[in-house]
Amino acid sequence: MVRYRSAVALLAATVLCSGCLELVRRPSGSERQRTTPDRAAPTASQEVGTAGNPAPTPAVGIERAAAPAAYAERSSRQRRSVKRVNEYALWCIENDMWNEARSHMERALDQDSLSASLHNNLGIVYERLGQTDKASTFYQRALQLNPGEKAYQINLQELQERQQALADTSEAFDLFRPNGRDGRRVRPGDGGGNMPPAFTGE
Amino acid sequence: MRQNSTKKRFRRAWLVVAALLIASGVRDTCAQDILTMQLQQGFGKNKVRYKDFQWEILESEHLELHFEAEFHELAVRAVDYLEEAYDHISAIMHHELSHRPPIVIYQSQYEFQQTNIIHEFLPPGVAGFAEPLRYRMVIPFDGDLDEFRNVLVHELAHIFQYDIIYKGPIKRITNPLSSPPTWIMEGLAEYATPGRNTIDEMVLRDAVLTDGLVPIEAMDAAWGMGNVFLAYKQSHSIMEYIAANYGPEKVSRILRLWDSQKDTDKLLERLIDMDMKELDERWSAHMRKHYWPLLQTRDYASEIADKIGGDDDVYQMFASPRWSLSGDMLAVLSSDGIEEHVDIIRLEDASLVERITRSMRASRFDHLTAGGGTIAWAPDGHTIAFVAKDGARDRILLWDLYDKDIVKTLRVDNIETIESIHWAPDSRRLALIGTGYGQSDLYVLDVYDETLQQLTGSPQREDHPVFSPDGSKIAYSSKYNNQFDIRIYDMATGEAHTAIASPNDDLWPQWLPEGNKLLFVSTRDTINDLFVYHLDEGREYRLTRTLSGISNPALSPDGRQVVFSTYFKGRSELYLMDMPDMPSIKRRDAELLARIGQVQPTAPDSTLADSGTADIAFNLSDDTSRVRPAARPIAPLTDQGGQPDLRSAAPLEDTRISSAVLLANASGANAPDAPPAPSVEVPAPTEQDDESISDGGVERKLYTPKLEFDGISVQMGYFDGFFSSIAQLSMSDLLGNHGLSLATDYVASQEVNNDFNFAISYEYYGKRPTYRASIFNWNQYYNNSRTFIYRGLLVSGISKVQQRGMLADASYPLDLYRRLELSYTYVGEQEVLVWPIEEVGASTSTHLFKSAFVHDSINYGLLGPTAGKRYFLSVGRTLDVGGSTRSFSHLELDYRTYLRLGRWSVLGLRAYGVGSLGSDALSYNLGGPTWFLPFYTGFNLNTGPLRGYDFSEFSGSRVALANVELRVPFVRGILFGWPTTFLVPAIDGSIFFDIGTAWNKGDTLDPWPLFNPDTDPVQLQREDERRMEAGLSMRSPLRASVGFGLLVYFMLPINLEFAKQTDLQGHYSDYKFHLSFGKSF
Repeated sequence: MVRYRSAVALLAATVLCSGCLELVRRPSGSERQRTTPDRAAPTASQEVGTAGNPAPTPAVGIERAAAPAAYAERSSRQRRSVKRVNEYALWCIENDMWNEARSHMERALDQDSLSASLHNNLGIVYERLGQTDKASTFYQRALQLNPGEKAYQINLQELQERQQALADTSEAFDLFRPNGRDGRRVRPGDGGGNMPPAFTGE
Repeated sequence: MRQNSTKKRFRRAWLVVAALLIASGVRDTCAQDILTMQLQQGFGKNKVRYKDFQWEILESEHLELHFEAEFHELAVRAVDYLEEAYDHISAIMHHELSHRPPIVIYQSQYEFQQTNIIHEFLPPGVAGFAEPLRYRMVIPFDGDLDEFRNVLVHELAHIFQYDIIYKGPIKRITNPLSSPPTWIMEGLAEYATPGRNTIDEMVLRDAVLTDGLVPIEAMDAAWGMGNVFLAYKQSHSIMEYIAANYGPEKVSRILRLWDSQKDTDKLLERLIDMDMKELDERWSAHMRKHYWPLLQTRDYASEIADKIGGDDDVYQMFASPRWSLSGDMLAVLSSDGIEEHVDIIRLEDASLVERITRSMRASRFDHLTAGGGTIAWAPDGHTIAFVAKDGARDRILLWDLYDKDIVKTLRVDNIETIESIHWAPDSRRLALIGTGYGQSDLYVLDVYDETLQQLTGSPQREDHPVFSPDGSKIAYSSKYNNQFDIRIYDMATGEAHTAIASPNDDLWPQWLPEGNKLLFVSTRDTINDLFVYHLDEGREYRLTRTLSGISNPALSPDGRQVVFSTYFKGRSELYLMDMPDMPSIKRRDAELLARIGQVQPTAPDSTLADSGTADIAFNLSDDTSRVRPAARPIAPLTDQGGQPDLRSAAPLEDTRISSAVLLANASGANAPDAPPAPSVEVPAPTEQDDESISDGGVERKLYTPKLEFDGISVQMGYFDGFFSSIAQLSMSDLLGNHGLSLATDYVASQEVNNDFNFAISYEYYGKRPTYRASIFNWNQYYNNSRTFIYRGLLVSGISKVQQRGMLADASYPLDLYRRLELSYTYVGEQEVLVWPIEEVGASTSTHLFKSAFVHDSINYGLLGPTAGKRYFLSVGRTLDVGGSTRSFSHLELDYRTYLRLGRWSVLGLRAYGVGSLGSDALSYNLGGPTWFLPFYTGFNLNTGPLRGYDFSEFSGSRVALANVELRVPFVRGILFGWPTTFLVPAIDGSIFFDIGTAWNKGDTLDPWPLFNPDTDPVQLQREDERRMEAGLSMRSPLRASVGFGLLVYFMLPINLEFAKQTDLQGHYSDYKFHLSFGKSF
């Protein structure tokens, strides 16, 4: 069973990261306007910024203009390395090992601090681990590095909406519990009206 | 004609109804049909001879030591140990050996596995053996001189036992029939061996505290199935008990009494005036009194830590735990009782995350190397190193978590065994303990450029290396005078110093993240417990006081948790404990000290030298958080397994020069930290040196092979009016490289038989390829189908077939699991009608060349394979030189794979096909079980199993067969108390499906529908006759059966099977019962 699940996870990660297929349907421009909360999965080719998608003001003090250029200059070796880490992190998440995913991505950041996908994915993991402030920081950093990536914007936006909802209503608290109401673990891709953040590849 | 002849050959095969095997060491039985014997292809793993050994001999006053010339120093040390042990054992047993026993030492475990003294595969873990026929002892050096000495003493004690019990050649060759119970033999040998170590204590203590002691009456069965280690320790303890309470002379009398009293109960009554049951009760009570007081001051592991994994799976064991980067997972060496693997498991529930070594055995390595630290998870989080044997030595395999595959195999050519590995913080260097060439030392290996740096060099053992958090130092355990200390090697200066040297063993150091404290295990009170040593303060703090003992601790990357192994209810378990901070550690230390302060120490138990109560008294003075300097006396044979003599404790004088490197082959002086040099130095003989060199009472000379008597086997049988017999005499040289066997028949009283039958075979095992050559002349008699009127009576004639010729075989093992075989056979046959008239029949000859490729990587259980696969492809061709020579080709394929379903159940799948093609094609038989009687010596061309049909019901020059069998365990280890105590180790149930057929050239193979068992045989025969008359080919339908069976292991596998023929379309025959012997396919 474990092997089956790991095989599925690896296959999914490969597809995701190779840019051949979007894990979650990517909305068209009109759909994006119409259904903002929908989730869109990025691909590796989309990590470099796209014109016409202004990024929100970064929460961390890094020069916005310089970051994408530096990001683009990363070596292919670094990209491959990050890709492997992202694949493994996805496998960990599929196997409900969020701490393990976090540890590897944080370690990978030591060697490639300009990877937008790593920042985004770390944001997802921290959000899942309940550390929303850290998650927000990582989402923002991901957007800084790759301002054109719609998924990062959506992740950050939804996190902020949830934080707001949490502050506003006591019922919203349940949405952020580590476990679902029925006791099951909540995972990316689970239903329930609130789409989880998109895990992105390199 | 040939088919018919072959069929006859089977019929005349001598059905053995009685067989008596006497003596061990006999390798082969002579087959009665040489040609078909040569066609029979066997499976089996290989004993690969990787090295050409050059042997020399040291002869001392009492023994003769065989060793490899390059390890002369080790040999001289062994002679010292053995002479010392000889005096020790001689005093215990009041006996002098009748002659010098030949002792063979190997410089490593892996070279020991290549010995030919026994031809069976020696699995890892065998520490040595002694055999009673020629009094040979064979011992490997495993890197630890103290262990080496202990094994030498233990095996030498067995030689003394053999010399006392087996007086004369008859008793020696019949030793299996006259041996005392195993618990007496092993208990005496352990009694003669110096001291118990903490592992021995742990096993015994656990059995007492968990009510797991094996009754003495049932103890012998434990060697067949059960906790063998406990059986050894119990036997030892019982001997100690007898010696302490009834006098040491009682122990020495046991074997002499055995000569006149073979009943163990009566022997004990004569010896100590009580039977086994009473001795058991008294000894058990004594053990409880000894160990139960520990309950007052000590914790179960479950009281201080959480068990990793549940209690359901009693066979699942984990060892050598190593943390993942996040601390969520562990890499472990796992065993489920069938297979060993490197697994990644979840910390929270021990569930399997990833099986790293799945399908790697046989394809990537021979087997995993077991040890306390043969797995290491790199700080980079994704590289896992583990050690496995591949070929002649261990390799380190690097497995990548991201790639889920082996990314590199590190070959360290000058190290044979790698016992413990640990990553540097840079994830580039590995600290390791390498053993080989007579030493065990600390090394650092760069995994990028594969450069190896040797850091220490001494004949003594090092273990458990661990890099400091900044990578600048390595802490490791180092043994000196039978005791481990913890030393720290400074990578910058290349110097080492002793950091922790308590009067006990200090093991498994682990750096705390701060880099100024070491977590380690120390054997205070003979129980392993956790301590923390503060390097800046120079103080130690006790962290645990457990009942079961702790081994192999591993700190989590953040230093907040520790996983350790412990031993509970006869099995190793993993526990997880929170690692307290320093203030809490100090509080804990004080609490534990206060706890034992509340217990009134009792007087030491006089019957056990290493009494727990005495240890409690010791702790009162020792637990003052200050490391006591170690005494360094030369350990006498009478010491107690490393237990300190506190009275002689003296300030530590650390005079060792850490950077000294002593290569095993160096002829210079020992390293400064080496144990005292052996007392005897003997000059090396030259190549031309036929005469021995003598010095100091020890003679050194070159080894010259001489054939000596190995054993004799006698078999006899009766079938169809004829007795058959084979007597085989086997000889070999002392090292087993050369073998010679002579076989003849010994029943010469039959009126028609006045022949001289013989077979002479020579075998050579001294090199990697092995060879065998034989010549033979053998006559067989049988009732033929012709009838005669003789003296007014209708009688059947008697024929004789004389076979004479030669065989030549060569086998080349590619590795442990694969080999190539090549053989040539010449057989000349002459058929003669010998009674009632003489008539010379046909004469034929055969030149057969055969080659085969064999793969066998099966794990075997008692009743058959449990996992793995095996297959062979065998191709043969006769050389047709005209005249009466046979002409046929032989092609045979057998493929078997065994899939594990759950823990114990096995699904066996087999596909088999054989064809004999040509004008003189042989005929194979099919039907019934594979073996229908044990000791069936007359080989025939039977194939199977095709159950539900008569034995060899079908015949043809071609056979196709497939089997599917599911085996499910019913019983494991059931002990019976009547009529005597005996153990049935295993009973399995099976369900199976067989399908196959045999046919000849020209027949029509009719695969569907399958043969209908309801078909009228008369109608079937008429149909065959009709087709024959019409000149049509015969039809050969596939025949199938389904059934179930009971597989019982009692002395040997016994198979009781019931099968129905079926066509899989609703037609079934009645059940047919098969009784057969031997392991299932």
